[in-house]
Amino acid sequence: MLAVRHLVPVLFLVAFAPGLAAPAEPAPPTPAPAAPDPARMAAMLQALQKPQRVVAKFEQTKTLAAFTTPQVARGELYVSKPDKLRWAYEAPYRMVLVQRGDRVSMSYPDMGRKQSFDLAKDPQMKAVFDTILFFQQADPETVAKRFSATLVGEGHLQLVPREPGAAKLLSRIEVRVDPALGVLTHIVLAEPDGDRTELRFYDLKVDVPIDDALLQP
Amino acid sequence: MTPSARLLGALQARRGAVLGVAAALLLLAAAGIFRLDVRQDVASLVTDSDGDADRAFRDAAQTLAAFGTLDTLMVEVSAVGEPVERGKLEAAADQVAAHLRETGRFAAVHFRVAARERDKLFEVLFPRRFQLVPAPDDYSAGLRAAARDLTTPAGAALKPVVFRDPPAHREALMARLETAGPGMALDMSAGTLLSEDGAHALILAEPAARALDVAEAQATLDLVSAATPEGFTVRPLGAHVFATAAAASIKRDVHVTVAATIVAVLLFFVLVFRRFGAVWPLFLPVLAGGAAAIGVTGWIGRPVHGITLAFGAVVVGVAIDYGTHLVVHLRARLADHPDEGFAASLTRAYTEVAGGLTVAAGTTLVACGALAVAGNAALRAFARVAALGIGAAFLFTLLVLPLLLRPSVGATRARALAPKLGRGAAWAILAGVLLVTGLLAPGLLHVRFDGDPRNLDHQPDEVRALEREFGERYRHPRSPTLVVAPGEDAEEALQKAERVAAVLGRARAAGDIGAYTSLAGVLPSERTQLANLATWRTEQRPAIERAAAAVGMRPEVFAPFHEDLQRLLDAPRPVRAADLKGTPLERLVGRLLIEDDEGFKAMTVVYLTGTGHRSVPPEVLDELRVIPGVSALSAAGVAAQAVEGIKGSLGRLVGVSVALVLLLLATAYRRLTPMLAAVLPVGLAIVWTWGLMGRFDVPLNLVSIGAFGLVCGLGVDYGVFVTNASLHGAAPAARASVVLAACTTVLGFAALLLADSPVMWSLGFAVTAGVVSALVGAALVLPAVWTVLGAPTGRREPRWPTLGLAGLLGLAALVVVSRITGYGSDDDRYVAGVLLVDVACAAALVYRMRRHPRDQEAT
Repeated sequence: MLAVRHLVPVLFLVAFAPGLAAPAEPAPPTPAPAAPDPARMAAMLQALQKPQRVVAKFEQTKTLAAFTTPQVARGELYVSKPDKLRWAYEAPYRMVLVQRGDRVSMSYPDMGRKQSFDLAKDPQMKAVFDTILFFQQADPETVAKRFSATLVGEGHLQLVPREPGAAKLLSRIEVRVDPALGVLTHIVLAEPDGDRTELRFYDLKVDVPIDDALLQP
Repeated sequence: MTPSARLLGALQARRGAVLGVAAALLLLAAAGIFRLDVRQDVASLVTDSDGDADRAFRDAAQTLAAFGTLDTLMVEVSAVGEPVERGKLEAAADQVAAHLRETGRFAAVHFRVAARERDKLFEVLFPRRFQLVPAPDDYSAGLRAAARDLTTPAGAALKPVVFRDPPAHREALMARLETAGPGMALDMSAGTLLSEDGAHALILAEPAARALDVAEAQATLDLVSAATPEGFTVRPLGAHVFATAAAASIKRDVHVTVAATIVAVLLFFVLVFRRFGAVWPLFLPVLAGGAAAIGVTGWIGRPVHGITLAFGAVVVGVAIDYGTHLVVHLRARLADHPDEGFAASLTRAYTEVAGGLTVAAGTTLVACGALAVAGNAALRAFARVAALGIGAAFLFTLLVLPLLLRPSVGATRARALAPKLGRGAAWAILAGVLLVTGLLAPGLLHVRFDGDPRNLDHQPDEVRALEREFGERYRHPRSPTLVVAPGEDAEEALQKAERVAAVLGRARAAGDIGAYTSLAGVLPSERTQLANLATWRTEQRPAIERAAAAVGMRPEVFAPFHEDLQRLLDAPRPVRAADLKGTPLERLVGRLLIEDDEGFKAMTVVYLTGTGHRSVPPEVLDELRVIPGVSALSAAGVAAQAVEGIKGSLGRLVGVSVALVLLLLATAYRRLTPMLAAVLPVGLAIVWTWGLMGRFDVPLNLVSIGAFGLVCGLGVDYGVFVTNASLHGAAPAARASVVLAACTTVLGFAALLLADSPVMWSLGFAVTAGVVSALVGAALVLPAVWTVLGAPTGRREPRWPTLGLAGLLGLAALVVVSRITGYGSDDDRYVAGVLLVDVACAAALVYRMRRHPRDQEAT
């Protein structure tokens, strides 16, 4: 019973989210489609692997059918490779997500509430956070395994999920990369029901020191 | 020839038979030691009781024990050296938990919650959420939460939940579930119990053995230690650890102090008497008394608590004074009348001490007799052990010891230990005593009683350090109090539990309590669930539309919510205890909702963590007791209740004992002066020692109160020895024997002042200070008073053996009366019985003396 206390939000998050019904076991490997220009795509992914630490501000615009107007939120992002991330919303509400390997915490400072969970024990949640982590690691093999990738322009990549579970959540991801810095500057997440999330990163800094305390779940 | 001399002559004439019978009786009694059923469980202090107060205590203790509040054990598993990865730590904890379960000595072992159990919980609760939470007046907060959740990174996944939940029930239910847990700092996200830093795994185990059964508790802890996996440490903390550590601490103290005492007393006697022949007879009455007390207790067959036995045995230690008294008088007689011959000196010494011994033993037995009909089982058992021992030691000293004494006992002039006082010295002593009394007496106004048994608890530093470490890491709840709400059926009990939760909710908001675990949030009564559901019958759409518009959401996305609601409105399905089977709440419900012969009990556990309180504030308890049948129990409260019961019994029975002792002394001396002289040492002991305690703010406690029973017994004995000897013109020998007896007692108990245990220290302080004070009273003040005012004479001395016989017959009659009438079911009735029997005995004695005045002149 004691475990319930911290698990409730997570359970709500996953138990009633059929779209997130990602398979516990990895999907059988499928051959990656041939990219139109493998060399350019490899170069772009290689550029993403260069910086070890990234600090940026972001603006998130969600265009959802549930809302009458686009929802705009702002915050800061800290990335420390290979597996540390801090995603902090500052306005219009405060919410901090910290990932360190398989350990993740979500806190709501205004509510004084914090919940943490272990992705290794929760394949469904891992699917959500793998998607976030994917952009940190930019591993060409993982990209090829999970997405059908298309280079649609200079530094502009379009990804379509291969796994049915992920495809129920996301129909398409578009990312733009600054090859010089090796960072993402723009992400669009398109959902099957037409909802859309756009993330724009600015004030980008690479390989600057990050206080490790910020990256503790 | 005096009656005493005639008795000794008769004994000497039948020496072989007397020694044979005595040896046979002692062996027979001692054989009972093998049948002794010594308990270490505190409940055994009361379980053979029929009194109302004890029955309530027993019920409370059993309810607490059945619930497990007293006994939950935290078992921490950690890697040796650097922390290991979570998987390895969990595997080690799983191994430990499995081992503990396999032993079969744990009612439950918690470490992991299965995912399927969690899923089932929400399958049960979420569709029926409208019965658990009433309709909100305002959906603004819920819609703001919906907007927030949809715009998080996990928003895409949360949409189906949010659209079914515009009131944010997910958060309301979480808050409800939080109140069902004790609020420990744990990371349970992965379905296991880990410290928040992930470096330690925590197993919550409920041992079958009760913590206060020290032997069983130690066996339980040994099982935990045996479960340690290689490369890991396993550290338990809980009531079992505290109980065994405290017991081990006391045992260490006892071993050290007993060894020191035996060596010191032996050395003291050897130094004083300078020959072994005078030392060994002193211990025989104690050994005989101890063997009889413990052996007969074994033959009686009733379980006896170790503490009771120990305290009873301590009182039997008084009997060392008996042998000392006889031997010192004999040595003084031999020294003062070297030509008299050993047999004549023995007869004379015996005559001098027999009366004093009889009155001294009689006063102790009368006091024990009063306690023997106390309502409290512990007091009765204590009195039984002490009375058996004192009675046996007295009879041994009076009937057997003289037959064993030989000329090798040696000779010493009593004046060597008790020089004659001049009038100047007497006035100086009296002035000094008055001065000290004047300084200490004001302290009597400040004496206070500390009835909290927790203050007698001593834990080793390593246990305290572990407790602090666990406290900081887990913020585990402490000082739990169990609030019991009874009902004829589960529904009634749950309704009362809801009222309890309402009171506790207010108390928590006011900071009077730390947290509470209640079923009210997760399993409300059916009445409340249907009432909650009724609040949803009002059309909710307009309110949702208004709130949605305020956060920019389209109200039509909440159609799944309206479908869920309508489904439940059409067919209500109240959540029942049976619905929670197979969920993580099953165990909680099983513990918090108990069915027994009297119906149902819904429990609520209150924690005081973080409040600084040691018990639930009285105003909160008063508010709870307004609810019919509701009671609050805690381990500390139960212990305090036991202490209060013992204190109350002591208060009444000590008064009765004092009255009986005074009656006995009045009957024995039939004059005010020697009677007052006999009680002067004990009066001085109480005034000085309690004055000292009041002046230096040393509170009385259960142990020191018990110790004062011993001090009073000794003090009266000293007074009687000296007073009675003065009637025979043998005061110097009596003073010498009192000095020796008091010194041995002080040597024994002063060593306890070095003990760590507050129990031992309290005992040592009370007895040392009390006996020193009584010694001053008997060996200095009484002779000084007699030097100034003149010593009492023995013209009206009664026949001592007759008096002793009457006292013993009175006690026997008392036991018979108690047995016939039900034994301890009503304190006051038996106290009255004691009084009647003793008054009758005393009256018979006085009547007999008046009819046979020759007896008085025989001496």
